[in-house]
Amino acid sequence: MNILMEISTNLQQGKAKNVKELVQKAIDEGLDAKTILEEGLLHGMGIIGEKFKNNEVYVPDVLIAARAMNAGSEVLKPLLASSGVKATGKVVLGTVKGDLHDIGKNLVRMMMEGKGLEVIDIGIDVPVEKFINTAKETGAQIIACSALLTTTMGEMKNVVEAAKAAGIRDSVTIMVGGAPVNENFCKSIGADIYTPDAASAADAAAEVCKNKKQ
Amino acid sequence: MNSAKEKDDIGFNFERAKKCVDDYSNSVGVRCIIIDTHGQTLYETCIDNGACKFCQKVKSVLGSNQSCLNAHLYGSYQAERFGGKYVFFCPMGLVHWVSPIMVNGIAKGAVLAGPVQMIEPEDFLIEDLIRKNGIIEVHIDEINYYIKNIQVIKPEKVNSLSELLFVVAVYISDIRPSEYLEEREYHEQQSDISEYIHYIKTMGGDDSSLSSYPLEKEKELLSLISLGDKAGSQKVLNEIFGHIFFSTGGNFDVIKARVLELIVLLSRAALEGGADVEQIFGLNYKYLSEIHDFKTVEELAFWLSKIMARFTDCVFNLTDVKHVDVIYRAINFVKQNYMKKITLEDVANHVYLSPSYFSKIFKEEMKFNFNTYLNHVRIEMSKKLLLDDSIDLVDVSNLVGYEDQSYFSKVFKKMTGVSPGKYREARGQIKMAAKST
Repeated sequence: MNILMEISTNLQQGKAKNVKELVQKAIDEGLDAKTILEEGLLHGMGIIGEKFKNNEVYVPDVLIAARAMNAGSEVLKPLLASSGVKATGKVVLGTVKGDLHDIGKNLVRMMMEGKGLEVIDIGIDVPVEKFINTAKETGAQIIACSALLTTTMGEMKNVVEAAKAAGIRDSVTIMVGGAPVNENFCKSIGADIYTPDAASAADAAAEVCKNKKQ
Repeated sequence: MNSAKEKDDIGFNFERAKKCVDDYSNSVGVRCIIIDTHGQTLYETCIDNGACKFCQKVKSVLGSNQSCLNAHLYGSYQAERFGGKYVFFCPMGLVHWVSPIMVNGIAKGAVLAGPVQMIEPEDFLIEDLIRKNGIIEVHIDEINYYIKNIQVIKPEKVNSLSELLFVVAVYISDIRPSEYLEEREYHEQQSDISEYIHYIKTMGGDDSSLSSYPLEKEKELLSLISLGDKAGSQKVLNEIFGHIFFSTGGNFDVIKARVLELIVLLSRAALEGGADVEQIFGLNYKYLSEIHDFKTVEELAFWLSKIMARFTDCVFNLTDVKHVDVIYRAINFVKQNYMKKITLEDVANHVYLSPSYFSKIFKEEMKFNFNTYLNHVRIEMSKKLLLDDSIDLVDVSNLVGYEDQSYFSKVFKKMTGVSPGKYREARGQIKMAAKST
């Protein structure tokens, strides 16, 4: 079985240790980080996601798969990061209050760091004030929030409003993302940018910071 | 480790709770604890020696178990927020599950089970965890030794154990199970809608037909309601919601308007399916005034689902039907076999009645005869196929169970007022003529 399939299968079974070793082996064999991530790790998570939707597996299975995913991504992290380049900008990143999803957010963090950005990950279930205060304290150019539940999307609007109230709306770009979020929603709440996945989020953020410097 | 606390101090029936966790622990062989609102352990069953030893070891190495308490408390908060149960990893990477004890709508504590493992110890990433918890090297071998005594339970079983603990917690609490079930239905609906939005995003892209309002889906929905198909109609309703969400960007007022339109449409579908006119109109009046109570889109979606279920129930009011089981099975048989050449005799056989007796019962209960019902189902299904121009009329007729195309056309025209060809031309935009029986 080729090594990417092995990574995917072991991830689905929650075998974190194997995933770690296999990812390292794949790197040693010369595969590039992006391929390992997409065709190995994300492939496995995708299958678990489908099965969870169809009630073929349950929360505990997802938990161990996610843990294996994290273990594997940690190994990839140094490869995704650009080496020795000074941070081109700061991003405050978090999942909004009421939402505990973090796998996607963690991916976004890694991709952004890979583009040379400094990411301040304030975690999951983050209240509005924390987004704003962290942005103020660190002088971040971007606030990026994610939500995976339709019930928590509304919080993103609160982040936009709070930014206005705190007087930082003009100096901070607000990015939004997550499965139920789309362009229409982004516009309707007054956020700046919507991106559908981690890679495009990283690209967009890098672009924003580049333009802000000029 | 018992504490002699009075019922008043704790806020729930402590004696009952202790007995419950003892019984639970004994039957499933997993350690179980009762915690208070600060995460402090009030009672513990030490049925699982391996687990107890491990936790004690960790506590002695770290000097305190504050991080454990925090993890337990955090878990119980999440359980309270998300449907009454939560499965999680503690700081040492072991699996626990927890359910809150609710009294008067407030959590007074929780029942927690664990630790167990879900994978073999060899796969356990002990080094990472030791680093994360700041345990010094010298303890690694000891911890490794005790880890091997933690029992391994497969994820599927852990899931069932967590469901069962939830049942125990409900018994100790004063909350009615139906409240949790409603909450779960609500979350499931949102989850479905969310997924569908994601589907539109990834499949649709620039394809405007996917992102514009799905009139075909609406027709499908109305058809399913008039046939009394609850599960099918719920699924399609969630898809329509996904579209509405997607295209309006979550704009509450626009969505409210769409929902109002849908209620009226749904009521007409129910009427077409044979529901009682007075009853439906009465419900409509009630609903149209209720809509203003809602403030969020999710509440609207859930409320509309309930309305739709109600309307669908009115279509076949089975509670009034004496021969419930027979009718139900007959209807199911038709739903699954309408596309084949089935007769009254086939269905009667399926429900173990003579054809004449079955026919009599059906007519008594449903107020129309069996053949009429069969034609109604076939014609409804054919409408959907007719909207696809690539299917020949001959094939449409075959696909819904008519061998003879001209017979199909005759029945179609009798039931809808127009010929299949005309229906197809007009893309279904025709007013339905009164159904002839």
